[in-house]
Amino acid sequence: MSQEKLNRFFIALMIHSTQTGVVIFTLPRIIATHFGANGWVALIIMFFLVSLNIMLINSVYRLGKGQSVFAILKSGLPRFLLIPIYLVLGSGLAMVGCLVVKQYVLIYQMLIFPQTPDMLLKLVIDILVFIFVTKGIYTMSKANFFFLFLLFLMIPFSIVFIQNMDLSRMTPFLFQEGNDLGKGIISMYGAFMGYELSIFLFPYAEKGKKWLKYIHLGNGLTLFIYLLVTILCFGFFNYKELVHLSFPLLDMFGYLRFPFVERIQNFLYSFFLLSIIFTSGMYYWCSQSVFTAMIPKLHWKWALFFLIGITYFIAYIPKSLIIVEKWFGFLSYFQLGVAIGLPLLALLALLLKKGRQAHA
Amino acid sequence: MLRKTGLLSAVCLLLLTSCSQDQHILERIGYIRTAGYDLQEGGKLKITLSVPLIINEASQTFQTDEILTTVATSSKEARIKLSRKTSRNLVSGQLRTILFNTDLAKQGLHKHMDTLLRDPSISKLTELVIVDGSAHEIMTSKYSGHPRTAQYIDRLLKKEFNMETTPRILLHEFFRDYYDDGKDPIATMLRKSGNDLELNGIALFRNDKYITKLPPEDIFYFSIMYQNQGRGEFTVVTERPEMKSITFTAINSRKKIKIKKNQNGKYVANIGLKIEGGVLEYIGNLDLSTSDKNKLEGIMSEYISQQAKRIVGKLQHNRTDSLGIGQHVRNKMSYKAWKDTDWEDIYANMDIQVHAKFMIKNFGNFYD
Amino acid sequence: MSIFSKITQMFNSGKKQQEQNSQGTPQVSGPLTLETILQEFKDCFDLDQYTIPTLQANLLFFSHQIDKPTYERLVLGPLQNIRKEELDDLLQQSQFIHASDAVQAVQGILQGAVALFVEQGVFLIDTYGPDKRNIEKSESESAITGPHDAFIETLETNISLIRRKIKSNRLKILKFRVGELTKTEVCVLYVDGLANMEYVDQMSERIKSIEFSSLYDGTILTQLIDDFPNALFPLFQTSERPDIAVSKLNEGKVVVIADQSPSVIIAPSSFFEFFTTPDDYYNRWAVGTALRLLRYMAFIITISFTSLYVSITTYHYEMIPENLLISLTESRSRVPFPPIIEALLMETTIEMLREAGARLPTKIGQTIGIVGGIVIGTAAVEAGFTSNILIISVAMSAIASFVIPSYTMSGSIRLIRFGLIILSGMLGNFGFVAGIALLIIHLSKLTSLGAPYTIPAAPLKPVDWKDIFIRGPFWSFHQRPTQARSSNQDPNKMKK
Repeated sequence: MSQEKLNRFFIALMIHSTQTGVVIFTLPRIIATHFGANGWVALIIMFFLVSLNIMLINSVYRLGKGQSVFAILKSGLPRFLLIPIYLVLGSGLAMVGCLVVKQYVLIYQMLIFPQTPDMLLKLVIDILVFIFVTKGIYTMSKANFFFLFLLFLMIPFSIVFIQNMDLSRMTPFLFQEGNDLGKGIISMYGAFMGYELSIFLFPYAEKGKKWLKYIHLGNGLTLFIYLLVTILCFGFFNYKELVHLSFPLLDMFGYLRFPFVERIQNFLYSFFLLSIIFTSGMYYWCSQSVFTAMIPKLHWKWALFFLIGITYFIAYIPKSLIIVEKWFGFLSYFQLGVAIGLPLLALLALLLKKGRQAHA
Repeated sequence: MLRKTGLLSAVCLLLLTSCSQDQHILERIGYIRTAGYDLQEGGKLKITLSVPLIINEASQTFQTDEILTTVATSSKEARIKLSRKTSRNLVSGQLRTILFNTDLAKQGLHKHMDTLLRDPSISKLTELVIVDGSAHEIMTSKYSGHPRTAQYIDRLLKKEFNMETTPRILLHEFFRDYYDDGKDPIATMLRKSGNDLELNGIALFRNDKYITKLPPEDIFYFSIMYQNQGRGEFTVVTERPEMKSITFTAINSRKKIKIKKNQNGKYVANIGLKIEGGVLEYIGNLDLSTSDKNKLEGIMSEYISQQAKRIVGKLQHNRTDSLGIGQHVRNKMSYKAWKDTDWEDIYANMDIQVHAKFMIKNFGNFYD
Repeated sequence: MSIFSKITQMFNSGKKQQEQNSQGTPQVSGPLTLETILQEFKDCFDLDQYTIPTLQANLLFFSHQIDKPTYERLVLGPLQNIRKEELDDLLQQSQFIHASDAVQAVQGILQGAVALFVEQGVFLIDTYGPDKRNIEKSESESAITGPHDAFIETLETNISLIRRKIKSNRLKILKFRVGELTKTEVCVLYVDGLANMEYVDQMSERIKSIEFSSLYDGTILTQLIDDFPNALFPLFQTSERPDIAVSKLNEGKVVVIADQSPSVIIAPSSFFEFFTTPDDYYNRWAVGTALRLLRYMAFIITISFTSLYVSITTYHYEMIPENLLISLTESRSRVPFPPIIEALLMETTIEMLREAGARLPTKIGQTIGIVGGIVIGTAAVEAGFTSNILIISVAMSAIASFVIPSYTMSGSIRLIRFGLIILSGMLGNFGFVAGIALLIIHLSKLTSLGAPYTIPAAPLKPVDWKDIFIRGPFWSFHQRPTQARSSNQDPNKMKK
């Protein structure tokens, strides 16, 4: 009864959850490698760039008066142009959703289950994602609240880490000894990706413009979490050591010791499965919404099933973590395109429509 | 709906046949608790692994630990060789202590530590110990009156860390300081003395090479300069009649390292220490409840300053920057200047002052 | 296309399509005469027939269904004392209801009326009043302080128990009949001005559209009006205590009482309401809060403890701390099975003990409980059947599951526990977290009478948290709970 519209705070949580994922484990190392000493400052710069992009998406909502992005594009641009765009868009989104899971599974396999075939773990996660997405976007947002609640329970651990931090380890230098700045920027941008999916949420959010601020809130929450983790890592280890640690956050978690259990880093890593399910689910959901906009007669659950199935088999191709990261590199360009290109396209469509109406 | 649940249950049945390859069922694995490395001729290592035994595995013996020894070039190669001898799957997830022989440490530890960093199952909370003598001998001896050897070593070290009698050095701190160019790592030292194991001082490293050690009597003075103490005890014995022997407890100390540039452009370091403690035992001719207390505090402050300065001198002489003075100097320079300096050189010749201020917090139950 | 839509229909979860249909009126052939009715009740030896020859009147009734004093006062007394001429006047009295057809007469006799067959026609006099149980304490729900009366099987008494606690004409009671064979009376209660009429209408619609042969209990009714019949968790709270029913009516919720059942249904319900008891309110709020937090902790312990034991001893040995390591290994080494088999065996044994204890009379049941608990547990460890830490884990899980106040909810939780143990045994921590994810996804989609099941956590309503996660003091309640969407938000006053 009261489920017609997504709660604004939940939208913020959804955006935050889509943005964070496995990248939180490798982020301190990437920043240390590419940006060098005190590289976490770059996160703040990236945050502002992303905020500009979010404002672009907000403007599409305002000018389009809250219509769904597909309605805007259909009314503005001719169909023969839209079909290839939708195809590329839908498949790209599905591939991102698939690779997110594959990366998580490969890391899991390396850490904990070396002999288990990673595609088996991926199958389990894909089944979970399928069950998750078929419940609809409202259930997804409600479940996400519980997922994030469990994940945020880890934040108080930072008090233990702060005790071990020494500020003098974080040298006063800025951005020294980093190399390959371009790759670093792309990786860091990839860490913030996820906000572009807010463009697909237009028809499900409440009327009015208040909820647009909450996308910024979600982005800000992501920044907070990333800063917390990165600054703690930079203080806990020093930036030269960070370059050599594959997953600094896991090592930091490994430092916790309780009287009844210790070495809980693998247990905590398992809880990030919840974040992965949501990120992947969100990408698949957006992908199936693209395909159902393209082919209206297709029932959305069937579209989802085929998407997950096909991408599952494509995921057999990259066999190692390095290849997956390379693929992610390519997909980051695609995501950049979606984040900037899709709102621009929508604005173009609106302009064309207005132009046509003015002439008519 | 029915068909969907049927499909799911079929998949679930499939999964039931899965993950059995990765099982590490607790009683069927041999988790290594202590690993010891000795130098062998020809540059090879003699590696000793200690795996605890449980009743089912050691039914007819009084052995509590299974000790496996072999000679190999690297630790994982040793593990593969040794797993041919034992009935259990050797895993490293519960590794608690690693012992390195001093001769091996003198050659540089970095190449032996590669697996400690690479293996995800080895925790960073593993204790790192340098031993005088043979690690193999320490691990294979039985210490009557003490728990099983592996547990004994682990508990001894943990207790020392908890009581803050010696700085807490685990793998994490070692690697962190190793990679930091403004600080050199340190490690705890153990040796066998009679029928017991004894904490034998602190091993000083330059980068990853063992240089020298600080004897146990100096640990306290080093430790108050190394970190802020929250607990601990120490004893001072002198020839002076006011202070034949005095023991303090509940030590609370704060350190502050300040770097200044003097007129010549050289850096001067000033280590300021504020220590307070309660008197537990006093053999001397002063009355603590009178103004003699201030006199005693003055004497103590001077004594501590002297001892600390002596230790700093020793560190400088050996060019091991174990206190991390380099970090503070670095924070005062620009990046380029830091890269251009030869820190080791400057450190050996730097003027480092130590000022300690000691305060007696209370003098116990006895009023004199 | 048709196959397509057929298969897609398979994927449609949610409310079943309930068509409107009538209650299935029985057909009686023949005119309204004594013979027809006697024919209908052929082979029912318990039907009594009483003839008054002076009036040429026949009385048909079930003697065990009627209230004897009422019968004598309303029927026998007047009829025995009048002459035939005065019969017409007597029949004008209000207790004589004219039966228009045979169906009505048959139904009337079944519902405890006396059927009077005279020249003027057939009349029904309501004398329903069979034997009933006294009002006693509830067996399954008891509070330490507070009222101890509980609902019994008779509808009138139950309604009376509520009416004596809510003395307001705003308490409305709607009546329906459910069940082809049992024709059970079902009443929907709500407080006009507090309850949201959408929920009342929804509930009434659902009850009217039930197609079911015999309704034995209110808990069966719960399952017939469910949003999600396949859900793991109970979607409506049931209770045997009038004070709970009254407090929910005060919040603006709808209460459904079925005849012949002491369980009443409260709708809509939230998942977190199943963890509250009236004791929380009868104690001071600090004590109430501590008890609530204890229950949530018990919930977490009961679903996770054994699964974590299985997953740690099978896959993640590195999580065991130093002091437990040797003793755990020693006690596990005596057991010939892998941890998952061991855990499932012990859990099944405990469940069997619990079931056995429910069947046996109390005296034997207590002995079995002690025998099962202590002897089997200790003996199992000594025989090398299980390890002692597992016994502790299983026992703690069992005790923690008893802490959950609602019996139906604790049954669901036991089921979840088995699922999580199996998942942990298959995939370790991964399986455990996957199980938790499934649980959360399942919970998030459930609705109770259309209202979200996980309110006030999702959708987020922080104002309700002080009554759900802790028990806040009464002076801090400024609103009625949001799930009921009541039109009157002031918790202390009724709107005019």
